[in-house]
Amino acid sequence: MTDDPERLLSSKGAAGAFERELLHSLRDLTPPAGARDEGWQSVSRQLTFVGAASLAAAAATTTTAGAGTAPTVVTVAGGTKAAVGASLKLATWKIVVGLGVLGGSVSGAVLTLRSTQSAPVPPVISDASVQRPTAVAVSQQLAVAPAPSEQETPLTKAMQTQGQDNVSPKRRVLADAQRVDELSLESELLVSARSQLRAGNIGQAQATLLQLTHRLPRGALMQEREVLQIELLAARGEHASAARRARVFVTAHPNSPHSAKLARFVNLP
Amino acid sequence: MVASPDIADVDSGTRPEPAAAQLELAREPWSEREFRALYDAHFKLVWCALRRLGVREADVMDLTQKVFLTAYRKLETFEGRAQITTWLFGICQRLASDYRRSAPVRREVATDAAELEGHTRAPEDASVLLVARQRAELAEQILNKLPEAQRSVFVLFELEELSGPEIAQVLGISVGTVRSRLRLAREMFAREVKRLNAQATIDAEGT
Repeated sequence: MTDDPERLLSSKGAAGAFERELLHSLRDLTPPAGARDEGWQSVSRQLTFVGAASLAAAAATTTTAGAGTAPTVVTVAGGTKAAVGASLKLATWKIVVGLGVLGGSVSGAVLTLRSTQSAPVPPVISDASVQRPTAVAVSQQLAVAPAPSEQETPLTKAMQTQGQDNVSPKRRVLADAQRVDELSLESELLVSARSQLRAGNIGQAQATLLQLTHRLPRGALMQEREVLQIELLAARGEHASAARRARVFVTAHPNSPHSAKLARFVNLP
Repeated sequence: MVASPDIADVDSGTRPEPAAAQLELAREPWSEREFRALYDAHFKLVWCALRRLGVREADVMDLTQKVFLTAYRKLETFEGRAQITTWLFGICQRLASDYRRSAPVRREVATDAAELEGHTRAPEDASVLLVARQRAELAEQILNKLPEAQRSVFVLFELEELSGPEIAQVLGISVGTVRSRLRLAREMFAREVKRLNAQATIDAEGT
């Protein structure tokens, strides 16, 4: 929203240097390695119970609602006998409600037991048996996939039709999830390649960048990839190539913040 | 607008009720495999949001799982009127708030900024590590001083980069209230930073 103030960490933000440092230390948080998969193991186990409990609760509600009809019938029947006192009617109603609730509870308990034993709950997926839709799997799929027009998955269809009212929220969420996953992978590999380059492992950095290109031929960080490639060329001593690509980049993206950084490569001998 | 304890209400707002067909679409069931895709894409977001909202390292995995289990139960009611991330932030915010309320003793325990720092980007040498540790510790201490209502707005705006209206939706408050809480939180944060800076200068001069 345009009325929002500038964020403290934005380039125009009003935060001082120390304030920025403190905020950066919070923004750069990242979960420990392996936490995601470890967490999924636990979530996956519990999903079974969540599914079973939901089914049991739904069944118990239905049963209780069914039992609840009994007192209504009795009350109506009682109402036809005007001679019966109001207190007697109330007492009868209470007893029937009590029995109904008790019956409902027992039925509910039985249903809960049955549901946990035989209800069609979501299956627990073991690591070995199912190919997970991880970033790697998704990106590998993308890397070998034919042109979108030839092979459209439900997700790509959902992505293409985003904004249309008839796309289910689930499809949109899954399409978003795929995009987030891809961006995450792209960012991860770029950071990794950059660190390798900074550490002097030029070959490793180039391999990582190639891996990224293979997995995700297109991505949201294409400019960053090109900048890194130019840096790699320069680091390998291929100055002419680095200069040529830097000139192309600067011409194509004169307003990019990377262009200023690439100026030093443009006039390489 | 009043905050509701019902997670599904995160998805509500002032917009008109959806058509019946839209609700039918919203109730499409989720398979475990599909849910795994959602989990994978948003795990980091949930984990980090909980940490920034004051959940300690020792408890953050439990709370993260709880967020996703809550989401799984409620996904069929997600109508797509909000971003899924906004919806998840809503769950995070509520669970973190419950956590902080139910664990006052834990909140008083010295900050686990050292643990927090351990999961920031890997520092390159010991001095960077030390500085990073100190920064994270200070930042956590300052956030802990903010009243919960202000902290939530501050974290959601400055660190999670939600917009004012999105935060209003998550917290069930007006955009005006979001701005006012943000202003107060910023003032307090800046005041504390200034105080700590002054203290550090005095300490440095003393040594």
